[in-house]
Amino acid sequence: MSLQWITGSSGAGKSYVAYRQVIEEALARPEERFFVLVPEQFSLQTQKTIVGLHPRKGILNIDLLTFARLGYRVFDAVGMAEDPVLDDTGKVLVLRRILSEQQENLTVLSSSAGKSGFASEVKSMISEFSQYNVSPQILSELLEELSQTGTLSGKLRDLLLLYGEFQKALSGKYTTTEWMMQELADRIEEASFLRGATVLLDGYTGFTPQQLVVLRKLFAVCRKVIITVTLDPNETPGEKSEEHTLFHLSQETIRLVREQAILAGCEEEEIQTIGGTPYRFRESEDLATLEKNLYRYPWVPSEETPEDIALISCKNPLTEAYVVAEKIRAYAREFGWKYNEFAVVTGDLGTYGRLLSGAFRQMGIPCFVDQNEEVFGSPLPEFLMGALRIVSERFKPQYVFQMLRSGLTALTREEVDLLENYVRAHGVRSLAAWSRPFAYGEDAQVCEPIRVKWMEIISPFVAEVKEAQNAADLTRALYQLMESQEAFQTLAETKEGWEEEALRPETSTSFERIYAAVLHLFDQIIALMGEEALSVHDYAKVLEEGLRAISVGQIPGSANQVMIGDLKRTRLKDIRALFVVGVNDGVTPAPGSSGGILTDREKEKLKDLGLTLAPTRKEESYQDIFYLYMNLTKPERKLVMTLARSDASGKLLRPSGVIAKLQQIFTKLPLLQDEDRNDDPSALLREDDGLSYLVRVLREEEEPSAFSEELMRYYAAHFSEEELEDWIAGIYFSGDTKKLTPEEAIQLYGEHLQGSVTKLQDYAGCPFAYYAGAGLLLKERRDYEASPVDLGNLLHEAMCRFGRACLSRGISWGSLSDEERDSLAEQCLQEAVSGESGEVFLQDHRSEYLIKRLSHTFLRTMEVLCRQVAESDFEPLRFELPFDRIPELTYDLGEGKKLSLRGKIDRIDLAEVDGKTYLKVLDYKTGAQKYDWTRMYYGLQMQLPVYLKGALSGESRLSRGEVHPAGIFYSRIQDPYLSDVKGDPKDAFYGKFQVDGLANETPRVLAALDHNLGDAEGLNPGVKSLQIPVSLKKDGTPDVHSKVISEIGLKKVLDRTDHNLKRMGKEILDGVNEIAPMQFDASGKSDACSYCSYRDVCGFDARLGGFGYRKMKKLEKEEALQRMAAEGGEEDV
Amino acid sequence: MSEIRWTDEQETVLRLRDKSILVSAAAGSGKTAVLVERILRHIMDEEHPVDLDRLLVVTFTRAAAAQMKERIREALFAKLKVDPGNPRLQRQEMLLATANITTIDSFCLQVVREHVQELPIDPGFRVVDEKELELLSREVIEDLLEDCYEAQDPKFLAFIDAYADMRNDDVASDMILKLVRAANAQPWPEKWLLKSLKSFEINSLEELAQTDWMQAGLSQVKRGLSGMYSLAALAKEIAEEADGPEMYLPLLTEECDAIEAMCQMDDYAQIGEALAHFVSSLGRLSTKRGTNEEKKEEAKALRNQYKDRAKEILARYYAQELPDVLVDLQEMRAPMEGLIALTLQYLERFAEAKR
Repeated sequence: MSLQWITGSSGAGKSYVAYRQVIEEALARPEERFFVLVPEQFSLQTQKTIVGLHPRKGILNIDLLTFARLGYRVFDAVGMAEDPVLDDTGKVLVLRRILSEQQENLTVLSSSAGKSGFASEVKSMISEFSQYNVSPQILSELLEELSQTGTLSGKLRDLLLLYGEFQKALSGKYTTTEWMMQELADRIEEASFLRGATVLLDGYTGFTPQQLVVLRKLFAVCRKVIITVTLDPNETPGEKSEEHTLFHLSQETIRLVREQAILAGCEEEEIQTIGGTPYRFRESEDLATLEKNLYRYPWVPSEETPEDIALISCKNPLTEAYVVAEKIRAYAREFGWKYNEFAVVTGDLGTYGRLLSGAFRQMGIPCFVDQNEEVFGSPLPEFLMGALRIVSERFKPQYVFQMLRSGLTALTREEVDLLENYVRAHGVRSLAAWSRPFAYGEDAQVCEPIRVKWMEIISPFVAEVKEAQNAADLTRALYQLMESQEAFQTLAETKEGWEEEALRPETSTSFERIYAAVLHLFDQIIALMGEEALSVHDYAKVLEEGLRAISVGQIPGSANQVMIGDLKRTRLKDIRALFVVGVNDGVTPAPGSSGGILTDREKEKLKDLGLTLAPTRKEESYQDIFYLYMNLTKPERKLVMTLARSDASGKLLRPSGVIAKLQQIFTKLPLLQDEDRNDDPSALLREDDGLSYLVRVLREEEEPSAFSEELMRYYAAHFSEEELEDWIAGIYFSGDTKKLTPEEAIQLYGEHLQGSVTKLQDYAGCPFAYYAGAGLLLKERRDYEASPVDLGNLLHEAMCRFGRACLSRGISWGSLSDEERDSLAEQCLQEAVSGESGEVFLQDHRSEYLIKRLSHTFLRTMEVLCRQVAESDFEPLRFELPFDRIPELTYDLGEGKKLSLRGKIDRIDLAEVDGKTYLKVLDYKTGAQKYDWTRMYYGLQMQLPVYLKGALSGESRLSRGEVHPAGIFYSRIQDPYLSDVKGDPKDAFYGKFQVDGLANETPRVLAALDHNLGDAEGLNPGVKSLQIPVSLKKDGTPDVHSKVISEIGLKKVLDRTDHNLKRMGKEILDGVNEIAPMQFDASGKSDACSYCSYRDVCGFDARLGGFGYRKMKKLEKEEALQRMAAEGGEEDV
Repeated sequence: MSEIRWTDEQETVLRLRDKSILVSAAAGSGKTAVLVERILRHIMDEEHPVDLDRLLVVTFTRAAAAQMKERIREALFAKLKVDPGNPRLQRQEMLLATANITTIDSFCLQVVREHVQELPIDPGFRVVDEKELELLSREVIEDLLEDCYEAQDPKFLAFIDAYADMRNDDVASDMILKLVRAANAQPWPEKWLLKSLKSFEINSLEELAQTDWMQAGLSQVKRGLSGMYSLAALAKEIAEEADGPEMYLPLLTEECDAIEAMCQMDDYAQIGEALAHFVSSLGRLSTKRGTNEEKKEEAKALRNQYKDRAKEILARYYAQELPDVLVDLQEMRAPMEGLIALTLQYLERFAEAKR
């Protein structure tokens, strides 16, 4: 029946004194019982401490408890049957139901009742009421005092209703932890084991009203209650203090506890105050000074430069993590401290936990992150949510693969990959599509069995879900699905896999607990809302909420590890060096969170009415300062605080006010900048034997320094060549692919190399691109959508059909009437769409409409093309003409090797001019394409010359006579915009389609190509052709901008192309495959990489040494021709 | 800190109470210093003390908020050093870390959190990250477009036909998102969107003339004309001077009068016609030798200036005839109605998808 306070500042040794006292008394009074009550987080540590202090290393008559465990002991002793405890998720499920039942009876909260997160808010509020001893009765009494109108009374009335319903729903079936505490208070007196016992409460910063009632009962039955409280020895315990002062929380605690003691008629013994320099800081004057002055007024500034306190400003949070890790290694070496004598705390464990554990692992420092991990997003929840959404979202691929990618189905990862490729390429997007056998494309055979396997998994589930009447049925369906996949076994395997690879060791232990938590959630759903008839969609929402609420705590794996914890929540003991990271404004101390059903203003109003609830933001901010004081005074020897100058995304951060506070106490305490860590040789001591450091040094040095040479000597002496090679190779990575040997090249491509012109153009752009595409056969993943390529194919086909139709009906393009032309074009496009190349356009309304727009474009293009024909002597005769291995396009590469080209010529037009046959070659483009001398010269534009050569040889064979080239042109399929039209808009539109390429400069041929340029009599001076890129000067000759060429010049172009092709063929079969992209213009704006599909494969990076673009010299027509003339006849490569 | 001598204006800002004040001054002129001092005076006010947590200080960046806190902290420390026992000062120091000195974003977030019951938002809401938002938005657009294509609303199709190129309709999603960004910068995005349609609901030249932007155009033109007039008047004045180029006088007078006449006009089209006539009928300056070569050149230069100005106005404001402008606007009406309907649907669906 007595109360004893032990007070002292942080580190004074209150716990030590208290434990000693308890142990001594326990030894002296073996027949009596002793209890030590500590907060949950302390229990393990305290156990060790007491055992350590006890002379017999045993604590027979001393029991270590928490409030919760005290409860169980009492219930056990008084023989009370307990209802099962309902956890937070369970409470939310119950409240969800209550909310939907009571929505109509609610007033101000009625609109919130339908929101899914609201149940959780109500749950927190009801828990808070319970903890603060606010019963429904107290609430209703309070309501009578409040004015009847206003939001606050409305809220309280609604809460009262929900609170009552909640209690009703649980009564006799469930209990909650808060109610247990209340029950505990009611039954303590009956527990005989507490009579005459001694109870020590240690480590508490304050008590909830509920706990205070428990204390009152303890005062009544126990012989003695000892409580330790952190308080400056200069303050009088229990004196009135201002809210903002550092020890206000302690003073309030003393005051409140005293009230209870008086009520219980308990006497108070003399207060034991531990003064003097705190024991903890016996070896560190700096930390003692810090404790004495931190948040005290007035404070005594120290002029000394502290040795045991360091402030370090780092570039970003990642750097902080490494700085801390390196410091820990350094201290451990220097002082021989064990890892469990270090701790790191922060206000933002979410960000820093991951970074720190990563850095620690790399440095070989064992650590434990004191953090509950949310499981949402991990495999099992993904599996479950995916399964439900497959049903509710009607087999949308993203949900199918959400489930499959969880890795918990019977499908292997490779099977899932194959399946996904197929599904994407062929647009499998509905249950119907999934139910049909896969039959398209080369992958169908491989994928069909996987589809069958998958359908066997999901079909029974889908069927059951359709049958399901209520939440319980749905839950059972999910459970069966899970069990059918042996999900648990997979979990176990995954876990082992993870442990082996040590990829995420900190999470691996949690997986079986996730499974257990999910099963528990299932049980709760069935028990608490099983009868509810929910749609799959609504059920998925409930499940998601439940899964999101699951967080799995970690259990420390070993005793010797660095604790990484939260500034407010984590409790530390016996720490030599403490690191506080993220000491930035808005991070540490963490900004309070607002929210909840009652606002701070409302809570303040209630407090005035005598109703105390959880602290407001303001009160919390005072408490934060106290927790900060408690933490900063934890270490015995070293306190290191780090801050980041910017966050991970590069946003600037400012130091926290704590930094300034410390510098106020230690006026000479510098804020150090993290040294450039690359130069810090302590990295040599890392777990990887410093190899990563060596690599960094070598990479950054232009010339080897004495230091790096010394390093190399060391590594050469201690490591094998193979071990070093992997590391060193990385430094000099330059993307040098291994050149194939000629034998390998022949095995890959064959002695007779065959290829399309476009592929060889790719080679001219970058040999590796050719190697990847034509050699390794790498392809981009196909998607079932109307791609530009599909579009091009469709238009080419329609175009071809148009030409052939005219040909077979014997009509000229130029003689078609507008109606004939439009209807023929429309018909050709429709035919193309209903053919194979149109399939992809029929998948949805969007693509169908694309065809409609395309038909507009096509009709307009045909209008122009027909006019072009009408205004020339040339008539289109050949369409989509294929060539393959024709002698003219087969090149002897020597040593029995050959290169043959294949391809398709879009269109060949013929005309008789002056008794000679002329032809022009057209290549349709859906984008802009210009003839470019430079590109032609370097082999980047070979299509037109190759087509011309093929066409000339083909036609001359057919006509058994000489055929002459009239020109080679790119022709555009488009629906252009017109702006700022001058003159006739029809002509302006027509002019937009002007072809680009080279025209034979012979006047008669020019006139035949475009009648507007002239006729048999001669050319019309000053005319500009709208059809071909030719303008005539006043003397009737083409101007400088005209793209014309003599027949001899054209021959040179063909020769140059032959020369290029031969060279490339030889190189390819020699095995050349280097990564050497061509840069197309001096400014570097466009290069072969711009549209290359293989850019992510080769790893080309112009910034790295060893990589570089090939440059080409810009050539105009004259220079190109001169160069080609100079090369003329040369056959060497 | 107490050494600072405030200017009279600064002192006024510091002294004023119970009113809204807008302080506008050049960068580096001490706006923040004044604000910090004002905050300090507020919290130190003996008669009407205000705690830091009762103030709201909003900045645009986190760094600026933190900097503001730092300045207040420095000032507080300085005062505490002199008067460490002052409980009011002590309390402010404790309150500083969690005081409402925040970015506008986090302030808004706080308001939403505290009043979530009154909003159509789930209390369990979280702030979405950019990546997620983009994915969500793309999904919503894809579904929306597919539905619109199915529904075949003529205005929607008019929009697509007008803007999508032959390869794809990517431009549609780009335009929706661009419009959404602009609309979301308005307090009532939907209202703003509907209102912007009005710009296309113009049925006559009279209505066209009444639009805000035509009015703005008119006033720009008139400003240009009065600039021209000043130049012409000056040129004329020089020609009138004793040794001025008097042979220029007749033409300059004529042109100056013409410009003055144009300045009197208030009809956009009428001014355009007059200006076009003015430009097309510009005469040549007399080539007679003058007396003072310098003044001659000066007058000539001035005339060239207003000539150029006239051409510039024509090119800029009269590139298109008004009836054509009207036709263009009317043509644009259906596509724009399509776009705006699409954007409104997007906003609705996106809001739904976020829930």
